[in-house]
Amino acid sequence: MSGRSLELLLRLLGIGWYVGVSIAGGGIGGYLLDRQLGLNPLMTLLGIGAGIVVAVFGMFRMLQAVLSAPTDKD
Amino acid sequence: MLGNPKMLLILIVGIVVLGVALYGGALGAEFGGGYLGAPLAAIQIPAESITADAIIGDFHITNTMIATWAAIVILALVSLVVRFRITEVPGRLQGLFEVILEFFMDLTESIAGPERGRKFFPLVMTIFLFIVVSNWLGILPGFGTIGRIETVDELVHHREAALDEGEHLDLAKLNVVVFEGDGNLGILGFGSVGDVKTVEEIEEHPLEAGKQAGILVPFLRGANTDINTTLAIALIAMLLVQFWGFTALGVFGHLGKFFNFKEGPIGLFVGLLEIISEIAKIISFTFRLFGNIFAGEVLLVAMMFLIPLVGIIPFLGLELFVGVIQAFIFSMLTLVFATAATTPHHGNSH
Repeated sequence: MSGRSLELLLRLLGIGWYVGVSIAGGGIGGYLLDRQLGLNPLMTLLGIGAGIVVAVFGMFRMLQAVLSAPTDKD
Repeated sequence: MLGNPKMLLILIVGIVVLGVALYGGALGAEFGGGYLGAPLAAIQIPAESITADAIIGDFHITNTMIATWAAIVILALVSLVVRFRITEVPGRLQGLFEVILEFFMDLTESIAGPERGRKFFPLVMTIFLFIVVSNWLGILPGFGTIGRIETVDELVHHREAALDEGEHLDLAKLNVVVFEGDGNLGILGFGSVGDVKTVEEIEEHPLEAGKQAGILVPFLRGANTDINTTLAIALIAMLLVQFWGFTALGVFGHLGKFFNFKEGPIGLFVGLLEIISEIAKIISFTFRLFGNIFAGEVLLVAMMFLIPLVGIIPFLGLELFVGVIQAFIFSMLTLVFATAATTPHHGNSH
């Protein structure tokens, strides 16, 4: 396996973590805000929603970067 | 296959050895066996302190710290030996290191280019060697099986201190091991699988003289089974990646990836994605290594408990493989992130 193919493969390793961190981060942030503002569960739901949006957009960008990267065959 | 007498003999010996090991393990202990097995070690996520009291203030020396220092000393000594014995025609040790270094040097240069490759190489190589040495050290005999005996009083005191208000400790569920002798050095040896009792039983029927109950706090535990070690390596790697980003692109060039005001709201949103992905990198580095190595050690302990001697052999091979693969992934990801951080255009770093 060449360095270039390995690099593309390694880039894919981080996508799952990115999605997890985005959604969990949004949810936890929303929950903490709910506890401060007493709006339970509004901010938690909004946080999870925002996390999902960020996760999907980020994942799309990362996959696009990997898919459009030149490989050894190009 | 069964027609070949040699193969048949190997098969019979294999089945007998497996049967003897199974009967000698924890399952066999229920039917009067258990002569080979050791009790299931007390598995806990935080590293254990090897002394009963703190050294300075709240600072404890933990078993994973000892293993970390051991890995550092081994690496330093081997490097010195190789360095001072360099010859024109390489010997075996020098040849081995030349092969490893050349492989990584080529890989680093093919990913990051010759100039950046030489700059990133020391970090990438250090991370690989440290992780692989500490992972492989963790599967040596003596790791997790020799240690200090934490007495029942100490154990109950620690467990009660960790409880929330209103909770109480159930002594009938707290298992301890009965050790021979009065000293505080304990070994989980062959055939000790039946020596497990609960704290309640010990309190109701005190042990005879010359025996003591407690749990084993190993002196040595794989360095990467402590989340602090993996977090430290992840932080060093990511701080250096950021540093290289700043030196290559300048302060505004590098920060511009995260706080992009030029391209309006979309630029800001993309900057937010970049910040989250940087945080995700640290978390993924930390938990990937910790999770794989900790799970590996738990698997080994469980197999040692169920099928002693024989059951552990394939898993030792697996752990050797996982140890080197995880070290490779960690070091290569550091290299990929460093390359992406020093690339001027919007290179996505995943």
